[in-house]
Amino acid sequence: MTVHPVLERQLRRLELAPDRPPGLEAWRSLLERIGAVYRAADEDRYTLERSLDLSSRDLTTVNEQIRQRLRETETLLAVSQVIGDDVPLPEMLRRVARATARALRADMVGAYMSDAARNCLRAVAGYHVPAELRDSFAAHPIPLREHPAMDEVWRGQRVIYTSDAPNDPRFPSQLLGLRPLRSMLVSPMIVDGAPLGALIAVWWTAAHAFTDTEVRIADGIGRQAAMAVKHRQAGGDLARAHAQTEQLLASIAWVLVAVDAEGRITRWNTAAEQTFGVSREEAIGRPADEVAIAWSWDVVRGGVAAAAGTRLDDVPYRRPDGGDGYLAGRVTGLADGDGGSAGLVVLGLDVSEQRILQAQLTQAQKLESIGQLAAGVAHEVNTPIQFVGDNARFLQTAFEDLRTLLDAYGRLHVAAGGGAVEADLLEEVARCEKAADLAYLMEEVPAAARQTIDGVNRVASIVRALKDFAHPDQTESVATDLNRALLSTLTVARNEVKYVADVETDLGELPLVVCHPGELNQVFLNIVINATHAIADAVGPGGRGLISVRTVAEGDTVLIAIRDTGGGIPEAIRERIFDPFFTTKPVGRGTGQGLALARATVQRHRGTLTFETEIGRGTTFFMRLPVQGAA
Amino acid sequence: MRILFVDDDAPVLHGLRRLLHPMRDEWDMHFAGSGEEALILLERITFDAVVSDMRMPGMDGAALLGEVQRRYPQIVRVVLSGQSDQTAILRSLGSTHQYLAKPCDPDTLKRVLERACAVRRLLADCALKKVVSQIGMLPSLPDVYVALVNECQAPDGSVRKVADVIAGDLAMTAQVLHLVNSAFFGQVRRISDPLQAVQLLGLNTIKSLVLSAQVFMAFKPGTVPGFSLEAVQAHCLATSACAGLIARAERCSPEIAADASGAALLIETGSLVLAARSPVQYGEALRLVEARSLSLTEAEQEVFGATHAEVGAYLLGLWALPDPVVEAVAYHHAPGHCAHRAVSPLTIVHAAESIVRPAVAGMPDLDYFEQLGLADHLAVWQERWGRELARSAP
Repeated sequence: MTVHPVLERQLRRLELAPDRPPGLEAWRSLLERIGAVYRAADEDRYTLERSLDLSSRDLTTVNEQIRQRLRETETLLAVSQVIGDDVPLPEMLRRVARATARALRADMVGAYMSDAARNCLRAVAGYHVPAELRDSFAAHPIPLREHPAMDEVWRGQRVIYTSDAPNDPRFPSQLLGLRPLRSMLVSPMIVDGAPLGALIAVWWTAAHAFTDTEVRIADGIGRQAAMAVKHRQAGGDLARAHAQTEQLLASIAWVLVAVDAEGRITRWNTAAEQTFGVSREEAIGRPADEVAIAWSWDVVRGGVAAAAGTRLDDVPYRRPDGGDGYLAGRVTGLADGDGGSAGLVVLGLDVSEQRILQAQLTQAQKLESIGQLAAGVAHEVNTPIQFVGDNARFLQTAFEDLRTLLDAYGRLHVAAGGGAVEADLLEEVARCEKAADLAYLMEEVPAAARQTIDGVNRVASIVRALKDFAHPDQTESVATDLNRALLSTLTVARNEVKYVADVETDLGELPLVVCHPGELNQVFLNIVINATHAIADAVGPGGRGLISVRTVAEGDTVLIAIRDTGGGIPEAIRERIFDPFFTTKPVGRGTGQGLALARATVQRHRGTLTFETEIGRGTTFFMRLPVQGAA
Repeated sequence: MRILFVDDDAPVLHGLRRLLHPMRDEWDMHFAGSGEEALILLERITFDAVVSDMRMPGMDGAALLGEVQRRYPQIVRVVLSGQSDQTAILRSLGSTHQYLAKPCDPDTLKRVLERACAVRRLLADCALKKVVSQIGMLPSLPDVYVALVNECQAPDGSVRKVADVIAGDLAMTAQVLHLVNSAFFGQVRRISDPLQAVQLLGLNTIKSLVLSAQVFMAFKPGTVPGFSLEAVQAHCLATSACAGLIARAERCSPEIAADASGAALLIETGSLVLAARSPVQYGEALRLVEARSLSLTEAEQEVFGATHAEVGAYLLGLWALPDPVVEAVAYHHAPGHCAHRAVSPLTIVHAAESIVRPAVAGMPDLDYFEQLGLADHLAVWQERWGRELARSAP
């Protein structure tokens, strides 16, 4: 008895021998495990899709196109494989029907062939045909002519569809001789202009919204199936079927490169030719390493070791025009029958354009935080400027009053020296004293001067912190006092923080850390601002929380912990907070890039960024940085 | 005048106290370090104006002024803030009469407070003062409101189109002029032209005013029997067009022409305030006009103790619209009561209204035009307006 390797592995886990039938419980457990395997495979695909899906609001369109292309390509590849299978025609058509049903998410798909006289279509194979309808499905002929829908199909030689068959005059209710249905698609199989057959997809109750991609896929499947049927009927010319597959592979927009076990290139499609600027003739049969493409085969091969296929992110290569390009996609190892390697397949797409968009987005995020910062700093500067100005004006008028008084005193002095002080003069001096409100001035002038100096110091410290924070002139790694960097960041963020939280610092003695201080400050700021928002959301208007910043040296690394007393991060989103574009904030309050960039920055410094969180208690972010940080 | 200053930053209060020390004979100044403290003082002392910081821990400025608006509507509410974030300012527009930016020079501060004080003299009745000062927004014609929202959401929305919509509505015009004349936007000259206001504020500000700050709202028709906002609106637009024509005929300076057209758009502000805030009494006034064949101003005087002209001028004064505009609105029915005699926006607005709506008792005030030496011009303007109407008639 031969057993599929996956099943065999599961059976071994269950300690079951393939030849000894297991009990009911064991079967259930086995089925669950197999289910898990399939789900894992599914998730794997999800990861691939996600790797291509940067899900930015800005990138959505690009991503959507790529995702659709990927789906299209995958489906057509699957169909081409089915067609190449060495099985009888009805089974082949059943598989084509299955692939069609999956691609279109149809309830049922029937494959129909025209009869010899080309008068009507008859079902040859079906997928998900309900048991009670099988007989009528097989027996019911569909007229080829004199029928609005079919006429349109053959005349236009194209796919037709309806989302509302009962109200679409082209589709009479008993076209298929089955029960009433809601949506329907007919993809013709045409050879040399003559109707050969059709694939008919059915949705019983759903009003299916057809997308362009789906229609394209259905059209492609119909054409492939037609060619394959023709070749079969013409004697099953495998070589030509193969040529058909080649043609298909050539037409896909993805780079498809296959390498055999010896490392020689066996497939090189048109997209590969265009992307790398190397022709098929030049590439095929040559060792992959020698082919003059500037991409790192090491990276590609590194992925292959992981057997099940590995995502490729941003593999750099040299474009034919000499510029730098980036590929994303997947590399899959091919296994031969004996478990050895039969080479690998690389499926990739040029994502340079996405990279550019991403860079722009990063820039936008930077600008956003600068804008936020500028608004906060403006407030912090405007307030002291207000009272510095008020006090300076007060001192000016106070001096004027004092000068008038001093003048009067001077005259009094002169008069006293002359020995005759007249009552008028004394009265005038008294009046000046009163006008100047001398007692008030004696009290207020020193206070005004003191507060003016305080105000100037406040402005100066903000400006200094801002310069420290931004490090505009610092582009390389330097040995940095992270405690001081943290204090600058807290000063800069003060305006955001002070209305909702107190700040507590416990800064231990730290060695100087080699890093890009400007970049790390951005990370600190991001975490502090997030903490502020978390507290504001948790305490509501008028409430206050606490942000604690702690640093401690741990051997060759430095630990920075920033704790808030906010509401904590809900379980459901904990795994996603570092995802790019993930944000819980309303539009306008953040791009969702903050923590993703923060982690990327810390990782560039060969450090780690982690967090602990407790609902209702708050969150602590831990940053561990090696003292010999960024390379 | 009794003024309460509120700021969480003590040195700011000290600075203001010293700066305004010379004003101590005219102003009775009090200082509070938080919104909560301010409310305690407000309970004990009757203030004329509150000047508050915006961002404060605990109760912030917006919350404090909202509370003042609710509890002590007659108090003039002024913001003095270091914030440069426009959205916060727009959000506080409904509860704020004036917005000052830190650092604010003492002359501006004094001017704003003195003006607010002077404006209060326009309206003697204290109960009515409360009604008017409490107003955060004025209702617009529903159709115009919808048109503005659509124009703001349209991908190809333009300043011109938005300004056209706004200029067709009394409430929107008043509110846009309120915002643009607030000291925060730092205009040297006061603005009375809605198009210029929209250009200065920019489309984005208008959008956030409409869509997020929700300063504009739609009028619910039928709340006051006998009152039609459409008719009032049409009257304002006609008066404004006629005012423009007179200003051209007299070769007035562009400033006077703009103030006259702008003021003419706003002459019925008081009617809108009364209809929206005191619908029952206003309905009564309209009934009196019919029942006892009183003039509208007489009926208003009898029911409210003030006319729509005074009520409108008071609100526009609180909102810091240009003085000539406030003056024109205040005296548009009785220019002779205005202290100074010169060809002004008031002259033009009064003439325009007399021409557009003839046969109202006491209009035009011929003595007034005699004193200005314009008595013989009236017929010329009337004739031109007649031609203008004939030309635009289908």
